Amino acid sequence: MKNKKYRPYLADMAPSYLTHLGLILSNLSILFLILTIATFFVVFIPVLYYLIIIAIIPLTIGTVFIVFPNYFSLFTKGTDIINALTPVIEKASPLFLALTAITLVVSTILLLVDKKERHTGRLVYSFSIFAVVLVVLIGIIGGAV
Amino acid sequence: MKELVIKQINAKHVRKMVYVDDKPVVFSKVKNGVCEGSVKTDKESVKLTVYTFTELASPLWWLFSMLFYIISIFGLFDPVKFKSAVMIDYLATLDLTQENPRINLKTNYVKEGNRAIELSGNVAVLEEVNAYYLDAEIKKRIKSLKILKIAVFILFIILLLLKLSTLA
Repeated sequence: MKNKKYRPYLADMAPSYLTHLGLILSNLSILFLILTIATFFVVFIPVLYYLIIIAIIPLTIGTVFIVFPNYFSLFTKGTDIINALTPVIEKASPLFLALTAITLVVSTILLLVDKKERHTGRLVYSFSIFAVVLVVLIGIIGGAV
Repeated sequence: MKELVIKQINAKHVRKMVYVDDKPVVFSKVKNGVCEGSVKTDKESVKLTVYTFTELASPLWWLFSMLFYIISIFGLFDPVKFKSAVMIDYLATLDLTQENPRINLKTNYVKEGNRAIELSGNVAVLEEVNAYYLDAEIKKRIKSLKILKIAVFILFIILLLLKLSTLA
């Protein structure tokens, strides 16, 4: 090692951090978009329910079965729970839509100001989805949806 | 005054910081893996330094790393991964007596001990050091970050289970 080590100041790192945040938010907007679609179309609610129930198992590394020995009953009682949850989830759709819009806008701004790299694919995705989200949001505000 | 043009061939391969006489070179946006920057100087020779750019080199690396880890839902939606602590160690003197000095900068396969950079162009290059080296401090930071992430994840699992037990 002949050079001095690269240890930048925090101010030098700011553009990199902002781009990093932009990339994360861009990815998160996809998640919120999926959640929005799932809550808008009631048929997706059971899919979402079973996905969450299944996801909790690896997420808790199986310890959920120790805390809840009858965890599997959530699968068998699924229909009752889904029926009870559907109105609540339907009410959450504007929230997910708003989160999609916010993450799309912030990520687009952050990726547009990146001076080091072009993010054409992500920007095209953001603009096209944002156009759809905007139309739906206007529809909700206008009471059409 | 001369203008030294530096072109990065595989700019996306390793994120780099290029310095000429200890001043950072501003590059254009990367397009098709290529970007270009230039430096104006009166000198006959300049010092070229290349570093690997990593967020883990910053002073508040742990704070930002953990912040991004949580925002990205435990790294699930984070496209940036810190895996390697192998960094570029490059220092060379460029002779700028030629007209319109121009260099192409290309990084080699990342492996400790390998030659890091290949320079081509119309400039005479006197390399002092050109190799990939293992940055022990960054390696330590990657390890600490892994432990920190696991700890936060376990804490989340405990909180999730506690919440679920109150719901049941």
